[in-house]
Amino acid sequence: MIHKKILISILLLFFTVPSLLAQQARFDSANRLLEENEFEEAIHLYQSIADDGYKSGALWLNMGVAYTQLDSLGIAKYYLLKAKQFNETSELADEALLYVNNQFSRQSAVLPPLPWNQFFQFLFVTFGVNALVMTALLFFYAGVGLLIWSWFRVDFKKGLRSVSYICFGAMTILVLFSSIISYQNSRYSTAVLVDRQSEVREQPNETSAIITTAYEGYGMRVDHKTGADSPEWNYVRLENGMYGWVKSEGLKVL
Amino acid sequence: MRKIGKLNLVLLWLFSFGFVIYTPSQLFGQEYTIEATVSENRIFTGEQFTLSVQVSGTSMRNVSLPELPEIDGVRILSTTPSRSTSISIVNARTSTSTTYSYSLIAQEVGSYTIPPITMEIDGEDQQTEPIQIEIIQRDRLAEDERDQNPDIYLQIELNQSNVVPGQQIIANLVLYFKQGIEISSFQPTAGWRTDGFWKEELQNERQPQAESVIIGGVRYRKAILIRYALFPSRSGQLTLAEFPLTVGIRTQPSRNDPFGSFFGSGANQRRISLESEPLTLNVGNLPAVNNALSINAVGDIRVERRLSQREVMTGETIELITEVEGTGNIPLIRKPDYNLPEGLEFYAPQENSTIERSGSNISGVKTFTELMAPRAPGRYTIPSERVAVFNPQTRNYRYITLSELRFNVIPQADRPLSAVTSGDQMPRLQPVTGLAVWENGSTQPILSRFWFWILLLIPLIGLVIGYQKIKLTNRLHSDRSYARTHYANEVASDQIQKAKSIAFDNDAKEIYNLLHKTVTGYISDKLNLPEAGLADREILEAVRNAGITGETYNHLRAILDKCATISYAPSGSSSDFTYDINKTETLISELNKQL
Repeated sequence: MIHKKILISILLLFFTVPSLLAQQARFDSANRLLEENEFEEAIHLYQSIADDGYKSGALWLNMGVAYTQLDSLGIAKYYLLKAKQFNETSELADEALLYVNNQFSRQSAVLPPLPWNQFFQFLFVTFGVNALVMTALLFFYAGVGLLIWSWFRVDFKKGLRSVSYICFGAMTILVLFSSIISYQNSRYSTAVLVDRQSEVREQPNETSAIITTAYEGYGMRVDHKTGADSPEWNYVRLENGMYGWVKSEGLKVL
Repeated sequence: MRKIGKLNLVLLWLFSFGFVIYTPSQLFGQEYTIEATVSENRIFTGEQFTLSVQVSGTSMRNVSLPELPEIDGVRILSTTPSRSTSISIVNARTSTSTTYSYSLIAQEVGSYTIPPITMEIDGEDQQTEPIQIEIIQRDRLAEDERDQNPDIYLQIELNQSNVVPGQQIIANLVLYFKQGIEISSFQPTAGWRTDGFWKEELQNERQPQAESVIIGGVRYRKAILIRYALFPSRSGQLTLAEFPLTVGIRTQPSRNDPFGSFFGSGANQRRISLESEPLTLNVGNLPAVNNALSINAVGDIRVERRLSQREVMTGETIELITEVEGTGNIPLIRKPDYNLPEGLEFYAPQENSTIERSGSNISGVKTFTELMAPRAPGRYTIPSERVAVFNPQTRNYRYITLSELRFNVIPQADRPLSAVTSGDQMPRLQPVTGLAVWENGSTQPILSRFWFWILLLIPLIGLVIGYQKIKLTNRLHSDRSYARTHYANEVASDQIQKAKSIAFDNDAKEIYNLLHKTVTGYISDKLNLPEAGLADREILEAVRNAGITGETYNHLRAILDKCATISYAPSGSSSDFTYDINKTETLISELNKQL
């Protein structure tokens, strides 16, 4: 039995390590091209890694840097926002975003996010939905265990039951938070306008009244549920709080 | 040799002298003009008018009187003309102008030609151009009707009425006044409202000149005081408001006023305020532009564009200069909205224009300068464009093609990647190198994983089991009969085991007593009968009442009988005891199934 496990481990290493090394080698080559100011070639190589299904904060960050050099600032912002979602590149991405945002000739007024949105965003970025769900599961185990124990231990019954209820309460809160975050993640996405400009309209058609104009680099929140019936359009909320419809082309959704 | 030299000098001197005294008119050509004019071209019958012949020049020495030919329809009042001469000296050059004026009177209605008038100047006959005149019958208007016509009025006159937005119109401010009125001055009193028009005042090349016209059978003199170039800025019905003007006039006293010249100087001077009538103009729509940029250009206009340089470094500014030149609505022309390549930063564009207002058309040059700063190296192409210019004469667009422009952007020298900064506060754009942390595939949500639901099920199952357990425990503690029933089989099994353990002691009485106790105890526990004091007969009856008959019942009765009679039976072997113990165990098992 032990021999079998060792054999499987060796086989796994044999098949996975070469592929990992291969895309790391491509990543290193792309980095060299980037340092030699061969930006388009570097992006081509980075993109091939991404197309193979590999993701990395460093990959997104370097793509953002390369696009910044090519002055495609909207796309650069998109990749830097992706890099920000990775712990190892979050800080560098923040700095790069500060630089890129300052390069846009037109910048939108930005309303501060609502406190509860900020809170859920913090939970999502810091812990993630999976960690919250697992913690809720642990509380559930503890609550059930303590409750059963309280049935058989008459002497500690009250104390055990109280602690058990606290565990159930914590579990409920965590499940609720996880559900809200999951719902928000499935319904809303962050997007960046990579076209030079795009009209924000009242309705998802070209003849509808123009509410405002969004320019390259404008961040917006896409509402997938409201826009589900109009595949060529996205219902968005701009950072300045305005709502409207924007054509899907020219918009990159994270 | 010396004689010959002297002769040459003498000949040269004579030639030069002859040249000086002979050449002026023959070699330098005529330096005079002769012109005939009439005071009015349309004259009433019986009305007097003046024919003037003017001779102007710088080198006239001998000028004869004009020889008036016969003029049809007209009578010459005096064959001797009045003569006036003026001399002017400009840049040390003296010029003389002599005017001969004849008084004529119109006699017969019709169109006539005053034939060329001949004059002899410095021995040569010179002729004027013929002049067309028209003699008309004076209207038979009543004197009071004639008096109703205003003595002086102001009018805005447009050179055309069928216009489109951007097309130039000339608006003349014309003053009409009757004979006997002299205009000494004029002054606009307020601004002229021209909503919907771009207005430019045209520069007059000379002082306003009055000319004679007949309006409604009344002779007026008219003078264009001010000229404006108007450009409609939109289509639809546009109105030119009243033009307010203050005019200084001098009038001759009425012939019927006997004191007119007795008390005064013979003329009244005063200032009057006049206003033109408002004027409404219908401005049509421009036709649609066909696949070209519209810059709102109307007129004879040329458009060119160029780049200030062909190669720049990243961050440096390059200028895209568009020059619009010609005659038309130059001030109203918009900046062309070019389709410019990505990757350029734009600064506020500049506009410069030079407008020429002399003459009858607005002309000039307008320059648009687009300032662009490429932020990345590479080859940039500004695609070719078609620009539409509306030609008001043909009422169609003329399309001007602006050719494609290209420029190269080279990276800043010695500009490492990590030094992409924009000031001290700007962070550095630093790529990440070295070993990266890789993720393969998408991160599945935990709820979609099978093991999560198993883990979730485990505590639920535990909860159910625990609940059942505590419920059972509580009932066992509170319900004695249930507890007896629940534990009956367990107690019987214990006693059977005990019997088995003493089977080899050969104590038949003890063994069968234990078996009897086991069977009766089990049945009384199961059927909730009293724990003690029951006879075997009562036990059997209770079992039969519980529906157990047949072989099981017979086995029960046989065991109970054996237990009751064993005291009287001969002592048995341990195998017999074991057999009965097993038989009792089987009986308990059967009863357990049926009760």
